[in-house]
Amino acid sequence: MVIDRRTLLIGTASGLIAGGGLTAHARTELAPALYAAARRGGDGRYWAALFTEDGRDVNAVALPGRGHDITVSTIDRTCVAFARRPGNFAVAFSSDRGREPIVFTTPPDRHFYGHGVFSRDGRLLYATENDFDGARGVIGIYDVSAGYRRIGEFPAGGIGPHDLALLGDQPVLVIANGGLIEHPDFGNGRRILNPDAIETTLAYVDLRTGDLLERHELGAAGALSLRHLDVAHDGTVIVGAQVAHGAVGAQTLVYRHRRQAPLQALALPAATERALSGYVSSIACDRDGALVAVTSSKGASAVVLDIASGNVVRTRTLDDVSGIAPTRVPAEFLTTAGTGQIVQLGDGSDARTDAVSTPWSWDNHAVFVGEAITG
Amino acid sequence: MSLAGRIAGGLAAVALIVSLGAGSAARAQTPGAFDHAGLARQALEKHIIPGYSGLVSAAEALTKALESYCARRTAEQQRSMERAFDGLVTAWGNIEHIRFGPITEENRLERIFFWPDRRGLGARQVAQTLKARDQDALDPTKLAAKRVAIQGLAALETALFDTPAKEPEERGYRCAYAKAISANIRNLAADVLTAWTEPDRFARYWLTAGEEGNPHFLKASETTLALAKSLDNGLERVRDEWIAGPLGLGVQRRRLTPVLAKSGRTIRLFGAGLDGLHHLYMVGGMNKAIVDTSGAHPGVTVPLNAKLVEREIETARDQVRRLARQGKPFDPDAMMQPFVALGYPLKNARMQLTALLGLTAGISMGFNASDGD
Repeated sequence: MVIDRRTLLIGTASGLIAGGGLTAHARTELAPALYAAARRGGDGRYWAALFTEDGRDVNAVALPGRGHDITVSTIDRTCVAFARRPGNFAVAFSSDRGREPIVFTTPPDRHFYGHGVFSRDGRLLYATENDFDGARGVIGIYDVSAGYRRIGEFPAGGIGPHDLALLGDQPVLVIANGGLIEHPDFGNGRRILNPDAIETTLAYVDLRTGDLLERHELGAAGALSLRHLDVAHDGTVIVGAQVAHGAVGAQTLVYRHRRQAPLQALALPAATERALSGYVSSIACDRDGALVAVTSSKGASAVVLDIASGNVVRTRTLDDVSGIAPTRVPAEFLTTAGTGQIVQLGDGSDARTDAVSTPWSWDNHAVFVGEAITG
Repeated sequence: MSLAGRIAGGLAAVALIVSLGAGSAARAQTPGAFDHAGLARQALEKHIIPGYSGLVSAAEALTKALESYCARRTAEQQRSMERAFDGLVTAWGNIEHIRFGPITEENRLERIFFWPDRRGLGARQVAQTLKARDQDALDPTKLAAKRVAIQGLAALETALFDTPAKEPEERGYRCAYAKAISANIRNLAADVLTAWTEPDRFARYWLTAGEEGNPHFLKASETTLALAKSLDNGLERVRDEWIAGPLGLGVQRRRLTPVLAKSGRTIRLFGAGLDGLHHLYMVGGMNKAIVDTSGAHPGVTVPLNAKLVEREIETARDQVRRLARQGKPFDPDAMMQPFVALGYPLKNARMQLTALLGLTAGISMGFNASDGD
């Protein structure tokens, strides 16, 4: 199937997507779904790519260094790839190669943490950043129409903000603050400078004022660091943690949260905890918001959980898996791995070949962009 | 570039060289599993401990040389001090690629050598110390409690080799400060060495990787991964930070000050760094551990591929030695061509090593499982 890049849909609100989901069978009749992820090539160069579910490139832009996550504007599908910490670059590119990529950077005394999110109207971009001399986390604000000029910042409500998301239709950002103090002058910016005093939190910040609305600490969880999160349709936030320091033991790694309530640990079976190896790499809710999938690159596992009950729905072993994104089909996910594999993680009822091999080392995250139509 | 270099450089996606007749039942070898524990022990005994011992000795020698030099500044004492400084640069270059374990505790790495100094922080702080003639900075114990950037090799270089002091009193202060720094480096290196040699310290975890309750190394392969990353990151640092930075070929696309430029020891450090990486690979046991798995991979000529890594490092090292013999300081304009050429074998070595360790040790270097976020 050939993709005509001029005919990519603008916006993601296609009737099919908005129409309550597809069956796996129905999808085979449709245009390919598009995903975005950062990756490394065999020559050691780094890229951000827009690709189909069967691994074909629609667009790819070179990055100055290793990327991490990509966020997508729901208005015009502009993608922004962020450097992984402690990188200070981001690259904005269009999904259809219609515009030259724009490279922008943090101020000299800040670096990115690898994640950002567009405002709902697509005019502003919010990014998690490290004020490393002040040992505090901030959210940088960038003006999209002004070539991503940085126009301000507000506190992230904690140290080491990592992943973030808009909360439903509210003017609220939810932020996973990893709690790790890091500085680019020490250990290439990746050494934990407060191993015995990690303060990881989930923070809610009012986008209109920058005010901290809520802040939830993990309490006695010890050396855990909350890193990645996703928000289900009903506003439930699912957060994944990593053991940042010390031994991997019986720590709970997945948490569920709704505003004004305490953080709820999802108690997982011992076998599932072992499969996660103390490390949640990435997290994504399915398109209906009933299920959430978490990956562990260290444990070479992808685990699908029922959000309401916390029950394990299925587990799959995938070498160096990390990226995960919902597909158009309820209860189905797409995973990407450092091995180059792109694997559809469905309910097993779909008889299609669900894995493709690519020559890329796919990096930490993958995101669903929308779908293409053929010309 | 060597023949080996050209061969490896021509391997597009680093496809490992395959045995002719692979897959045939001509040779029945006993499959060899990668000996992670054996490699950990050999690297500790033959590379890590000798490396830090060398650093302790070199810092002691410089401290002693500085005592004489500060007391009586003759041409002979100057030469003696410079030889001892050379020794310290070499000793640090030989072991600086080990960036895990005790060296990362208490900011010892940055205290021994605060570089790269991205924002000129160290330079400013050292200048303040010299201007104030801070007497506490002359006591190694008190110096160790001061700012990280004024404690180590970069500060020592400034004190000894930056713009000559005009006043005798200033000269005296600089020399005493240099002596305190040298003693501090010795103490830091000795602390690291102790943690690697005493039975109940870090070495215990290193040698029991994968055993129940080991908080540092959860799997046996994690010590191999730590060594592999040391080698890979070390090669990357020589190419992308030490060389590409001053040539303006780094990420910043502007020329950065070469490492140890004030003392003219830039190329000495390059050579020492490559010597250390070669030592880790050959004497530290990585090459042997890889080659010993040959039986498990009859379709790939593991020894030849392992040899290619060695040859690539040697190609780069030999070229640096030639440049060092010319006795010129690092000049980005004059040396653009040879140093760009030096980058190829370094890159080839990394790619070859990554492919080999993926095959023989089952580790994926520098990606999600080993270097997530």
